[in-house]
Amino acid sequence: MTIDKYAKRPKAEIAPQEGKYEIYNLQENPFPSQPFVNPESNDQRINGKIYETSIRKQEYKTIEENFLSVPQSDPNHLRLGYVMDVSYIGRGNGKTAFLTNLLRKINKDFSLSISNELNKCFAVIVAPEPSGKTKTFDDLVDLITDRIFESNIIDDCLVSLRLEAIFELYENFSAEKHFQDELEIKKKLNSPEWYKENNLDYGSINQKIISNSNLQSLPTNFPIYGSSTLFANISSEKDFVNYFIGLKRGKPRSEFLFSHLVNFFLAAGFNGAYIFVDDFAYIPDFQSERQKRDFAVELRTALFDGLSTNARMGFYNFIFVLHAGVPALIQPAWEQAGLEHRSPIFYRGNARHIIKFEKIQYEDALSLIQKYLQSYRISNVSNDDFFPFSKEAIERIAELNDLNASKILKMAYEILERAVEQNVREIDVDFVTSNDENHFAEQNNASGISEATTKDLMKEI
Amino acid sequence: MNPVAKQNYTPQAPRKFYFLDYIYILLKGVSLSNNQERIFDHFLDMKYQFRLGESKYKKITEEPTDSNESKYKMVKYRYTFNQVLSEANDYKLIKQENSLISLTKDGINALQIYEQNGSVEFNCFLFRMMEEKHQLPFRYLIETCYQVNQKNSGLLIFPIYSANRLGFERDSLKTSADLIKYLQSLQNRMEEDISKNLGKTINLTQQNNELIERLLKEGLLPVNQSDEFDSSKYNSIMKRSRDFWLKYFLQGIYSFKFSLDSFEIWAYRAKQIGLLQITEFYPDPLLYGKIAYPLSVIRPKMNSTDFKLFCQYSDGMNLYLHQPSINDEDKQNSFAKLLHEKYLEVRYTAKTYFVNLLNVKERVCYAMKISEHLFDKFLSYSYHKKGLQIKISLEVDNRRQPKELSSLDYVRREPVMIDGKPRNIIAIDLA
Repeated sequence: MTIDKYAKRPKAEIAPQEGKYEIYNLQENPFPSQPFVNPESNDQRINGKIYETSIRKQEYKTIEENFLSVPQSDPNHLRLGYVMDVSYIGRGNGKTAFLTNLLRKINKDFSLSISNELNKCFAVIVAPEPSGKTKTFDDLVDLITDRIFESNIIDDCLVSLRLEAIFELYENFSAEKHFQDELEIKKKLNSPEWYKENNLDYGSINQKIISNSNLQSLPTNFPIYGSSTLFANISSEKDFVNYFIGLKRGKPRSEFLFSHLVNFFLAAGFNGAYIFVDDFAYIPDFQSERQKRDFAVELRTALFDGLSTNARMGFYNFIFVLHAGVPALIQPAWEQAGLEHRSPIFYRGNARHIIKFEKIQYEDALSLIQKYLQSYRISNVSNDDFFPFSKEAIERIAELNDLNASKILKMAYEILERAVEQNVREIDVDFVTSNDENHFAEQNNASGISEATTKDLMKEI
Repeated sequence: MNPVAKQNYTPQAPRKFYFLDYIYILLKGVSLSNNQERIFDHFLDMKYQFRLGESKYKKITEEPTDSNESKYKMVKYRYTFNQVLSEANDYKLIKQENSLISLTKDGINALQIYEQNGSVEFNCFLFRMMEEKHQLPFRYLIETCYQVNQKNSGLLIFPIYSANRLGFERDSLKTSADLIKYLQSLQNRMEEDISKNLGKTINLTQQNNELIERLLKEGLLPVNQSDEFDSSKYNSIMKRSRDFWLKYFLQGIYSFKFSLDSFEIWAYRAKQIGLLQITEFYPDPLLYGKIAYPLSVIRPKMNSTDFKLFCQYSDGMNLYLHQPSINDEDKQNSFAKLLHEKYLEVRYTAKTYFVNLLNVKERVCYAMKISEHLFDKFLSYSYHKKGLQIKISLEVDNRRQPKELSSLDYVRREPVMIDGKPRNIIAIDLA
């Protein structure tokens, strides 16, 4: 028998390698290599978790003052606003990151704390397809409803409704006794076995729910009614999805979103919702003038003066994210549809419903970089320390990229990688400048003058 | 193709200033006073107003000149003033009697043309005098362009590549051998550019060796290749090489009989008149430096209505300026189409919705062979026209630069004025 298997040690010893960013007091390269925000990602560099709130403090304040903290019960509360990028630097100014963080903040407790408990609102972000698939108002209705389903707010509403009904019917019911956390609440309230085990009659609970005044005008096949006949059939979000798919496009679906769902949300205790349409331009970009006009008219009807529940009370508050060229695109349509009166896009001075997104300043660029650096520091340093970058180097990066937040982060990533490769001690302005020139030389997608077609004047007669 | 006449005389050198507006402001000064010193004062005031400097670009801002102005600047300004005075004298726009200066009939006429019809008309008026007095410098320019590059419609290139552009980091250039490597790389790149753009194969080895010889002789480059060069001399070395090659391109390859300075001034004046385009900002991702191309032809006859007869020479040849009419609907449509096409080209690289209008402008001007001034007119027309197939958005993007980082005193690329507002970015959609 050989005991080498247990007794012998390997000849090659593994020496722990120093992380290649360790010399810079960083765990990893803190910057995103492709800086567009993807909220689904697990990487905090990409999903918007690393976020410097000071940069867009003013913009947040404007939204808070004019939208979030205004009571939904105020009949004049703003129903349509615009986040307007006035910087002309194209994509990368931080709008999606801003929205993602705003969404998190609102949905943390459904804006109860932001509004001092005057409102209970949820928020969703919708993004029209860059391919131009979202062309009509009906397409937008589909998109919004899909996002509402994906956000699981329906499930949350069902939970609220059931809990409320249970509390009303069973005085001695103790929430702490049955539920440890949010996940458990959802799981148990969706399980028929749990009701049986705890002697709770689901049938009467559901009866209580549908007796809510807000739910009286719903069609009889609305999913909330689904479970009163069969005990085993507790309605869930899936039922809502299937119901919606079964509806015809156009009026039935529009009614579902703007009336029936609104009633359902009201019953569940919500008094409003924020719908952020990111990259709104992808809609009018592909519309003819006629289509833009029709869209604007339908929007006006749904938001302001139609017969839907939403139009009557302004449940949904829309905020369109526009870049600088969009107002010109949609202005004639907005005017013709009368939307310019309700929510003007062209406005001199400061309007309450327009949140201007300017270019970030140089100080913001520094804060931005600092935020990312700090998230990956091995040992803490002061706010003034941008090691391995010099302050001037960061300012130069900002300048070279036109103060475009997205491009600044991308370049910071690339420069840091290069610095590691070349074993550079400190990243100063010269290092940044030399990086830029080479980088530029690689971007030769456009045709040069030798390939450009030109009129040959000599051939003219 | 019509034959191009060959010239066997050398045009004279111009006076040393670029902007033809200088002649206007001088005439204006003379109309206000006959006293040379007073005229000089007016000259300085208007020079500031018009943002004219001693370079080919207009100034961003300038402090109004006062007596505290540095002596050096004043010497420069007075030199320019005297140059302008001499030239105006040459063209008999002014007359000097004793120490008093006054306008001639032609001078009064010129003043009126500027004030009533604008600077471009004024420049065209001056053209005749410049052409006559200096022995046909503009004809010489245009004819030589076509002679040099028949294949590519008279395009001239003047490549300039810094060490960085060719992939050499400043820090890595230490020894004589390093610099020689850079110069070799420069030679190769220029040979490629010549082949691509001029359709010729030219070996620049001999020239490159000559350059290196000179640098060695002047002590800028150490003889021993492994020795380090004096790093404080780096900029001088670069400038020397740049000027060497520019001169070689101008006089060696293109056989111009001008000096570099004269060529520059005549070419930029031709640009102001609309006869030729010269620019260092054509958005070519690989070619850096200056390019020039003619916007006119020299012919005995031209039937096309897109050309305007600009000048008749004594030997029966005529200078025709390419000036398609804005009122021609076909031209409007092809302009709009081309504008959209070039916008998409620029947008493809920029990946933003709004792109640099001036880059689009360079491409459209080259494609259509029209002057920058004509482009502005076409753009303004299309911008306002209803029923066009495209919708044009024009805005201005004001870059903010911290004072420490800004080294630009000159606006190298002027925005386009539309409706009295400057525009430098553009976006286009289908209507």
